[in-house]
Amino acid sequence: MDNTVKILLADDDVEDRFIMQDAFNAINLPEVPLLVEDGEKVLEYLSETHRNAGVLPSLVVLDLNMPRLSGTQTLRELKSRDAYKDIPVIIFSSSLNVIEMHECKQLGALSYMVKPFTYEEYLLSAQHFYDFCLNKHSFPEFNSLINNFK
Amino acid sequence: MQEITRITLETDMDLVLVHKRTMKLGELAGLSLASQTTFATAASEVARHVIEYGYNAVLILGIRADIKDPEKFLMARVLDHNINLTEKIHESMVYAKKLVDRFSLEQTDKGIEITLGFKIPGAHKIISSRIEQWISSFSVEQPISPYDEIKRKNRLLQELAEKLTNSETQYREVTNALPLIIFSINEEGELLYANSWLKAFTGFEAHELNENKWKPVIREEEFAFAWEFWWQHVAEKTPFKRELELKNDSTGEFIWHLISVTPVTDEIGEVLYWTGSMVDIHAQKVMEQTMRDNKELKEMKLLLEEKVGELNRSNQELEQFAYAASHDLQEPLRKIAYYSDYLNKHYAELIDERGKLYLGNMMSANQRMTQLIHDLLNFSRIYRENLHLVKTDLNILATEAMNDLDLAIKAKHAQIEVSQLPVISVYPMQMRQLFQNLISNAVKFSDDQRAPSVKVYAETIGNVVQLIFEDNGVGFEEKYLDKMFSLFQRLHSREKYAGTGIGLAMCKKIADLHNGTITASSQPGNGAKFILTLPSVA
Repeated sequence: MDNTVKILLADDDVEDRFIMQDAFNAINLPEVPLLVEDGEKVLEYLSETHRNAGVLPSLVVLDLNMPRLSGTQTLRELKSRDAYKDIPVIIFSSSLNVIEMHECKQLGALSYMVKPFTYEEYLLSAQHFYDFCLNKHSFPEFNSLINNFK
Repeated sequence: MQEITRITLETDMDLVLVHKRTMKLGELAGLSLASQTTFATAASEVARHVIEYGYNAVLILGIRADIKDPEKFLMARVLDHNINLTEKIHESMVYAKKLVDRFSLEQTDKGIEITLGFKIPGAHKIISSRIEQWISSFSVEQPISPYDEIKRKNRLLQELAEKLTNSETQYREVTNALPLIIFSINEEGELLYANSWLKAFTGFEAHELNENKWKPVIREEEFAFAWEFWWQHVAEKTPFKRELELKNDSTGEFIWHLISVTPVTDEIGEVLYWTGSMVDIHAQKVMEQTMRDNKELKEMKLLLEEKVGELNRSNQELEQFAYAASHDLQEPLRKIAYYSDYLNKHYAELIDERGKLYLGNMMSANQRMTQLIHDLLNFSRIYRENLHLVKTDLNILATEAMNDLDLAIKAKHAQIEVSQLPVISVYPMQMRQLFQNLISNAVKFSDDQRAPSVKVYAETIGNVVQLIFEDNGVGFEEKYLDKMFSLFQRLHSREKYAGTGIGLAMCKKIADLHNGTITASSQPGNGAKFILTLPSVA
């Protein structure tokens, strides 16, 4: 198991964070997720890691609707800084919204996912996040997402 | 003949005048006393004759001074209006004829004209300026007698009266010809004079209006105000104006007039009476009114636009609310779905049958709720985007919709037959949704006795296109037609047919969006026909 893989997940919902951790535990990757409660915490974690010359996460997963710094605001911040702009960002929203989807695409997100409704789907999502970091999985591009949405 | 003076011949007293004037003219012309007497006698003879037998006679004294003729004559011409006068001619005329150098008697249709001519010796001395002097010497001539004086004054008076009559007639003719009412009126508001337009317009003579106080020609509701206005302004003794409607006799219409009244005062400033005019200003008033109406209309339009704006805003807010609400509703719902799924997977063995049943019911209730919110989101999203009409091949839309419904179509062994559909301008996403909803319904509400068969075809009627979705399903009672297209209205129990009651409401919204309509016809058990009517320019 490659312990250098870290996925930074931001969600203000404590239950969602718990479910996500649970899913990673279930697929035997309890150390992979780094769970924070909002966008500010994402920036704090990254700047600290950067300052300490630590290893930046391989993937950032952002909930959209978060207090203080929302998903899109955080995304904009990340993409505007040279140190972080290459980190892939996936938007993990509780619902499908084509306007938000367009906005996130514009801001440079990698993909847009709707949070799962079942346990199995959660396990699969966690596995996909991890596999993506190992270049074993690719997420659908925005254009196909938007087309599907139509 | 150039006239120098004239004398009317009425009584014997006039003979004295004739004699005196003729003598004077002879003297002025330089005749000897004998010649003067001869000429005067001749003129008097003729004058006596016409005074006795004639009618309305006049004697004109003058001079005949033709440039081409070296000889000049004093002239005496008598005009008489009795055409039968010649019959009475007797020797006095013959005598007069002998006394003068020239004599003529002419009969015209107006009467008789007797002319005497008396040669002036040494006539070369007479120039036109002399004649002018003679004329003026006769006009300033002192009266010879009181009779002469009275007679002259009389003549002047008659001339004046004639001039006055002429000018008054002229004035009346002019004012009567004007298409406006000109009047004079006393302080009591009684007309003293009015031109003929008053009668022509109102149908009333001045005295009639004085009796009825103008009541029939003024609007009933204005009557009291108009008179009040009159009394008020008359008391002020200054000119005033007022707009008033007067009833036209021939059309019965009330026509706007501008009434102007000015006081006429005597030398000490007392108002004698008032003069004024009433001018038709109806066209101007109508124009003013039209302008005002137009302005009101514009204001109304602005107000309406404002209201439409407000409505659009609140509509938009409502849609945003619906969207946000359904969006936020999804969040807890997702949790319930997740936890019940989790429970079902990991703890199903730990609970009894009733518990499992309830868990299952909870999960399916949750699924319905999810579907409901999903549909509601779609429904509220119909207005959400900036839509653009796109020329679209409806055959392609139908195919896409059928692909999406592939599972259901196969599960029900449904036959779907799409006849050649037109290419028209639509909002493609929305129209595809409509196709999907209608085809999905047609397959869903099928009769157990037979496999669903659906026909989709188009008909062009005038400038509208009708898209018809015909099925052989269970149909519906047409009394539910209106209800069917409302949000959340369902005709069947959930056990029999699943659904949220949003599909047809969505179809109606999409039809509205295209400025079209949707309706349906059916008989229970005999299938249904849904008809979407679109303007072909849509």
